Amino acid sequence: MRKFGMWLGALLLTLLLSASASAQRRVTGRVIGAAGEPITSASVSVQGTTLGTYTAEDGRFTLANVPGGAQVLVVRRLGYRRVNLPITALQETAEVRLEKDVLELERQVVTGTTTSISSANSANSIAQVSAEQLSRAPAPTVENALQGKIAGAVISTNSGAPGGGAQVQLRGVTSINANSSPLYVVDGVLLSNAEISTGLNGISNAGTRGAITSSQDQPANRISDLNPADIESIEVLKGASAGAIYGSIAANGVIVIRTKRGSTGAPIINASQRVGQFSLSHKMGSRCFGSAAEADDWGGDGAAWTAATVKCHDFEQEFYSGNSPSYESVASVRGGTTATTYYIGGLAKRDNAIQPGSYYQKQSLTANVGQLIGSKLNIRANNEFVHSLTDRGISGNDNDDIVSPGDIFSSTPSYFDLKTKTDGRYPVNPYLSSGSNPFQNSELVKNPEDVYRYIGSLNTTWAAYASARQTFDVTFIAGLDAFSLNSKLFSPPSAYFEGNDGLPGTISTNKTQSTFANLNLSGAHKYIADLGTATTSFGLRQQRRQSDIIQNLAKNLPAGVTDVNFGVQQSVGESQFLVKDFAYYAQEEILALGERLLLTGAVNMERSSVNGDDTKFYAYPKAAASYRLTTLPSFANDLKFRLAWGRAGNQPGFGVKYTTLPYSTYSGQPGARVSLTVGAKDIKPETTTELEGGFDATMFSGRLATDFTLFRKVVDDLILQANVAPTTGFSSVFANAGQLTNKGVEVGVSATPVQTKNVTWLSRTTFAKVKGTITRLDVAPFNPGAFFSTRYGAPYLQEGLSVTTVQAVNGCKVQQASCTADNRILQTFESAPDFTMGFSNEVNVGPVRLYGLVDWRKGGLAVNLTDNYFDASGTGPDTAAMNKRNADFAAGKAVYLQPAGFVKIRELSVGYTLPEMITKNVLLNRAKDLRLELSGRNLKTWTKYDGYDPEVSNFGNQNVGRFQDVTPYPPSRSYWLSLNATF
Amino acid sequence: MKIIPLARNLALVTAVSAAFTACKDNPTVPELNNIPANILTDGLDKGTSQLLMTGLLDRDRGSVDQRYMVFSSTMARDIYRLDSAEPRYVTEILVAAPDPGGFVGGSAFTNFFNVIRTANTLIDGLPTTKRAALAPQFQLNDVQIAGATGVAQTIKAQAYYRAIEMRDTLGIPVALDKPFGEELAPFVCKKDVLSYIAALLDSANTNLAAAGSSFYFPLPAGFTAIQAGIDFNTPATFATYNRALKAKVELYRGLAGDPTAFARASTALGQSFINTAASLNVAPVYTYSNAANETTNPTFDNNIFANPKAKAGLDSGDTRAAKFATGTSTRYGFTGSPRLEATRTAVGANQTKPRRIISNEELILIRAQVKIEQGDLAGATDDINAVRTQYGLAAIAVPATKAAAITAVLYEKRYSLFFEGAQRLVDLRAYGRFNANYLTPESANGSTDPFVSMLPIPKSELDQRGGNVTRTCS
Repeated sequence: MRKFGMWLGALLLTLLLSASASAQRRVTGRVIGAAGEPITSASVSVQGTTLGTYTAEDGRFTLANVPGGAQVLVVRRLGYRRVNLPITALQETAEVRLEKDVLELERQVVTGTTTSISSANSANSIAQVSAEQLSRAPAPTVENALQGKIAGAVISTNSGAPGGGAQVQLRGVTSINANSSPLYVVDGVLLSNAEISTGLNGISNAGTRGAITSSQDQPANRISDLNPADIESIEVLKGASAGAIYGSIAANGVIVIRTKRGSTGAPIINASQRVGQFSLSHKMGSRCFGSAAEADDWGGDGAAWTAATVKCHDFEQEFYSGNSPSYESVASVRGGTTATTYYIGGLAKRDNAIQPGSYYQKQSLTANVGQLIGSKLNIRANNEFVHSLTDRGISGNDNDDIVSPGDIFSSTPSYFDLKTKTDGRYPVNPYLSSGSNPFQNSELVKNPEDVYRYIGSLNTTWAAYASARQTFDVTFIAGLDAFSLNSKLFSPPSAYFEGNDGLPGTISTNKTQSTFANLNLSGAHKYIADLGTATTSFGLRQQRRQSDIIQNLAKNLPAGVTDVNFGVQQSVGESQFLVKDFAYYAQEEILALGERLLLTGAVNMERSSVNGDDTKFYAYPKAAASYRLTTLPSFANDLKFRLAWGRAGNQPGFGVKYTTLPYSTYSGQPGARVSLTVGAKDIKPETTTELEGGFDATMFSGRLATDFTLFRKVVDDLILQANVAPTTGFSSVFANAGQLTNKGVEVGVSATPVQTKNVTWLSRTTFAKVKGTITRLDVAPFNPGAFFSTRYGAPYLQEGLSVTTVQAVNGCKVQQASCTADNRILQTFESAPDFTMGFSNEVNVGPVRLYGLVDWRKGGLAVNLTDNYFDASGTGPDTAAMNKRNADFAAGKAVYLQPAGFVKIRELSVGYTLPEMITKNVLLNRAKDLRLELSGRNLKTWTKYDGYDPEVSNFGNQNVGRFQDVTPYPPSRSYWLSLNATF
Repeated sequence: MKIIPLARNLALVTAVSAAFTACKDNPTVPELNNIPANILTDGLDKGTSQLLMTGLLDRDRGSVDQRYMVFSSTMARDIYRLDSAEPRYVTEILVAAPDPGGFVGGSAFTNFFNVIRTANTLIDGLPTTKRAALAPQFQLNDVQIAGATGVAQTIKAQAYYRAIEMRDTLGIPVALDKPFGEELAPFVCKKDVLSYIAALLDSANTNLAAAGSSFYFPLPAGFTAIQAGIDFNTPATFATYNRALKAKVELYRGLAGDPTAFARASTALGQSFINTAASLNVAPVYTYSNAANETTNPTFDNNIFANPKAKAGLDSGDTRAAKFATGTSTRYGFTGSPRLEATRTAVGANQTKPRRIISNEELILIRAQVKIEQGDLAGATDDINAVRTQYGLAAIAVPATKAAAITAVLYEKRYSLFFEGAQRLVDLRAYGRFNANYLTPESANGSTDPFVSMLPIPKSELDQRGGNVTRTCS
C-alpha cells in the first residue's frame, strides 16, 4: 500500500510525458471480478514499459500509446491474484477477470526505504499479516494480535496486566545483552519500544531495597500505544538478510507497519463497537485446611481455623472478579480524488482488567492525507495521536512489605477472610507483619501511567524524470515519534503495609520525554529494458533517538497529600540517552526474464554515536536471488526458489563504551567511586550475518500455497555484559566477546480446501523450529541477565551449549538430608520450546463466518517461583505435591524448573453478516456490510505447567532468562460482542 | 534530450544530499548519566582526589550493608530477617547451606572488593597530583598525599578484614592492586590474609604519622566531634582508629595460632582510642541521612527480628535489654524451615541512626580477650567489669578458668555489640564455639541445621576460576 501513491505519481507522470511521444495504439478494456462485478482501482500496465493506468469505478481502463507488436498487460489489484494477459499486435480491447487472492499471496513487500517488490518475486521469507487477520478478535496490543500468526516469531506476554508488556522474538535469541526488541517502523517512522518503569519498586522492593525502580516493575513496552485498527498490514522481516537495509538496528528483525490510507472514490465509513469482558483464566488455588489440628500443625493457628465461618476462601475468585465490561469503539472514513486521498480513524477503548482498580484506556486519532501536486510531486502526511491511561495494579515479585496479591495469597491461610469489611474497613492481615490486604491495596494504591504520543511522517516523492523506459524518483521521508509519559504511584499512609517499613506513605513519579526522529533522502532510478527492469536506489538516513526520564520517590508522608515534594525521605533519579546514527546506502535490484529472476545487491554504511569509534562506518551488505520456474507440472501454478544473504546489526546500549564513576553524597560532600561495571571503549555493534533459502509454491489453481525456509544466522561480536571475578572490585565488563549461531526451519501452508459459491474454508498452518548455540565464548562461562538463583534455575552461557540454557542445581553428589553447597550437582537444561506451530481456520458459510487460531509451543521450561512461594509458606492447594516438592528441593532437586509447553486457543470468533435487506434498512442505501461477531481471546490453555502461565516473565522483556515466574498478574481470557458496519 | 534532464536532476539530488550531509551533527555523545571516568585517566588533582576520597568512605559505609549485617548475625543466631517473600534469608543459613549462585551466598563480597578497588585507584592516582601541568592550587604536596594515602589504606584494610570475616577459612585474594584484565590474584589462606591486613594497617599508620597536623579533605561528620574533645579527623586522631583496627586484627591472628600477636595487639590498643574513663560509646561512626542521594541506615527494617533466645539470655537487670523491642511477632509457615518466633530489635531504630564502626566498648573487651590469652584473668575481669557495670550489672569476680573468662567476655561482647557486625560470629569461630554445644539448632519439621559459619565463595567468582578456588598458604 505504501508504494501505491508513489506508483500513482510515477505512472501519471509517465502518461503525461509520453503524450508528446509518437502515438501508437490505444487499448481499452474492463476489469471484472468472478461474478462479473467491475473492479475499481486495479492497476493495468504494459509489461516492460513504464506505461500504466488504473481502472475507473466501472472497471474500465484506457491505455494510450501502447507500443506496437504483441504485448503483455499486467493487471493487479490488492486482494486479487495478478493476471498477465497477452495481447496480440492488433488487439485494441481486453477484458480481464480477476480471482480473489484468498491466501493473500500477492502483496508488495519492502526491499528498501522506498522500494518494494511483489511477494511473488521476493527473495526473502517475509511474513505478512493483513488488517483482516489482525482484527478477528480484539487484542490489547498489536503484539497480541500477531501471536500464533507468524512462523518464526515467538510472541510472549509478560503478564496478564492490562495495557501491554509483550516480547517478540524473531528467529530465536539474537543477542544477550544488547537490545532485545525488533525494530518497529510505522510508515517510515522508527519507533521507540521502551519499557519505562512507573516506580513500582518504591512499594514492592522487588529489586534493590529503597531504589526508585528495578527491572521487576512489570512495565508495558510502548509499542502497545499503536492502534491496531489503523493498521493496513504488517510485514515481518525476520532476520538480517531481509533487514540489512535498516543496518545496525535490524538484527532482531524488523516489523514494518503500514497504516491505512485513503483511496480514490466516494467516502467509505467503517464503524465498529465492541463490548467485552475479561475474566481470570487460570487459578493457582489455595490449601483448604480440613481441621483445627491441621491449622495447628501448619502454624499453631487451630483457634483461628475454628473461629472462621468460611473454612476455605477461594482468594483468587474473590479478588480477580467483579470487573466491569470493557469496550472498544472504532470508526474511520476513507476516500479521495485522483489528487487527494485521506484516511481518518479514531479509537476509544477501555479494558477493565481482572485485578480491581487496574484498567487500560486508550484514545487515538489518525489522519493520513495524500496529495498530488501538479504531476510530479506527491506528498503524504500521516499523523497518529494517541493517549493512553493505564493502571496495571501491583503484581510480580516483592520483598519486605508484601504487596503483590499472589504473594499475599501464598502467605495467608484460606480460612482467613480478606474480603469482608467490618466497621467499613478491610481486615488487617495478621499473617503478615505488614498487615497487607490486597483488597485494601487495590482500593487505595493507584499507579496511573499517562502517555501522550504523536507519531507522524511526511513522505514526499518527486518524480524527477520519466520516459517510456526510465523513471527517476526522489523521496524524502521525515519521521517523528514523540511521547511524554507521566506516572504517579500513590500509596497513602492508610494502606496497612505502608507503616511496616516505618515510612508510611509512598509517592513515586516519573516524567519521561522521548523523541525519536529520522530523516531519509533517497533516489530510485528504474530502467526498463527488454530483458528486464533494473532499479537502482541510494540514499542517506539520519536518526536521532533521545530520552530523558526523571523520577522522584518520596516516603513517609503526611496523610492526605498527593505531591511528591512531601515526604521525609526523598530520592531523585534521572536517566538520559541520546543516540545519533547516520547511514548511506545503495541498492541494485534486477528483475529479469519476464519477471522470473530477481537479483538484489545492497550495502548500507552506518555509523552511530554509541559505537566505541563513533566516526567509523560499518558495512551491512546484502545479496539475494529468486527464480520462478518456467516449466511446472500441471497442478502447480508457481514455484519460486529463493536465496538471500545479508548482515544487520545490534547497537551497544547507551553509555556502554564509558566506564563511569557512580556518584553519591556522604555527609554533605560529593563522592565518586569506581563503578562495578567496566565499560568497553572499543565496543562495536553486534553483527548478524544470515543466509536463508527456500521455496514458495502455489498449487491447484491457487488453492494451496506453501513456503519452506531454512536459515542460518551467525551473530558475531556478541555484546556481553560478562561476569568478572568480584575480587577484582568489578562485577561485570562489557565486551564484544562471543558468537551465536541460530539455525532453523520455517514452514507455512495455506489452503482453501473448500471454495464454493457459499462455502469457503481457509486454513493456515505455520511451523518453526530454531536452535541457537553459543559457538564461541571469549570469556568464562557465566549466568547472564537477571535471575534469582541457580537453586531455582538461571540463564547460562557456555561455549557449545544452547543460548537458551538454564543452569540449575539438581541433586547432590552424595545424598544428604540438606544438600550442602559444594556437594550440589549443577546441571543444564533447555528452556526454549522444541518448536512452535500455529493453526488458523476460517470457514465461511453464506453469511456466517467461523474462525479459530491455536498456538502451540512444544517443550521448554520455566522457573515457577510462584509455586515456591506457596510451598515455602505451606499454603499450596495440593499438600502432598507441596510436601514432595519441599522435600525434593531440600535434597537439592530442581523442582521449580517445570515444563512450559502449551497449546492455547488464542482467538475464536463467529460472525454473521446481516442480510442486505436488513442492512439497507439500518444503514440506508449506502449499506455495504453489517456484521455481528462474537469473539474470544486466550479462551483455553492446555499445559503441564503448574504456575499461572508459562509465557510470563518477571523481568519483562529480556533476551535470555524470560522464563522466570514470580506471582505475576494472572492471565485472563476475554469475550467480545462486536457490531461492525461499513457504508 | 533524455540525458540532459536526468543529469540536471542528478545534480540537484547531489546538491540536496550534500546539504543533508552538511547538516549532520557531531557524532560524539558524552556519558550523560554519570561522572565520566576520564578524571582518572587524565590524572587526579586536589578536587578529584577529594571526590574519590568521599566516594571511598561512602563505599566503605555502603559495603557494611544489610546483608553483611543480617547474615553475620543470622549465622551467630542473634538476628533473623523474616520475609515470607524471601524465605532464603533464613532457610539458606538455618536449613540448608547458602547457594553460591544465589543472593545469600553471593552477599557481603563484591562491595568489599569494590572498596579495595576504589582505594587502590585513589592511592595509585595521588602521585599524579604533583604533575606540573596542574596549577599550584590544584596540586598536592607529599604531606597531603601521605594523609590521603594513610586514610585510604586504613579503609582498604578494613574492607579486607570484613571480607575475611565472612569467608573465614575459604580465604580471599590479597594482591589486588593490579589493572583490570590481568591474571586473577590467587586466593590466600586466612592466616596470610590477616598478616597482610596487619602490615597494611602499619603502612597506613606510617603514612598518617607523616601527614602533618590536618587533612586537606573533609572527613564525614561521623569522624568529627564524637564527644567533647574526641574526634578522628586529624592524622593523629585518625591513627587511633587505625590502631584500634590493628588491635582487633592482631587478636584474631593470635587466636588463629600466632602467640606473638597478642603483644602486638596490646601495643596497638595502647595507641588506640581505648579509654575506660571515657564513654563506652566513643567511636568513629557511619552517619546517615534521608536526603536525596544520601544513604539511610540499612538496619532500619521492620522485617529484622532478634532471636528471642538472645533476649532470654540476658542477665536480669542488664540495661542492654533496651536493644530488644517489646513484644514478639510469631512468623507462620516456613514449612521445612524453622518456625521462628522473633522479637523485634531496637538496634536499627530509625533511618538516620548512626552506626559505630569500632567503639571504645569493643576495644575494652578486645583488651580483655587479649589479657585472657596472656594469662591475665584479673586484668581481663577489670575490663569486663568496666563494661558490665555501665549496664546496671554487678561486677563479676575473677573467673576460675580461662574458659569461664572467655564465656564472661563473650556475654558482654554479644550484648554490647548486638547486631553491630560480625563480632559474635568471629568470636564463636575463633574460640571453637560454633557448634551445638553453644548454639541452639533452629531445626524444625525434621530438617537438620547445617551450622553455617561462613558464606561460600560466590559462583560468579568460581566461574572465573574454573569452578573452584585453591588457596596458597605460607
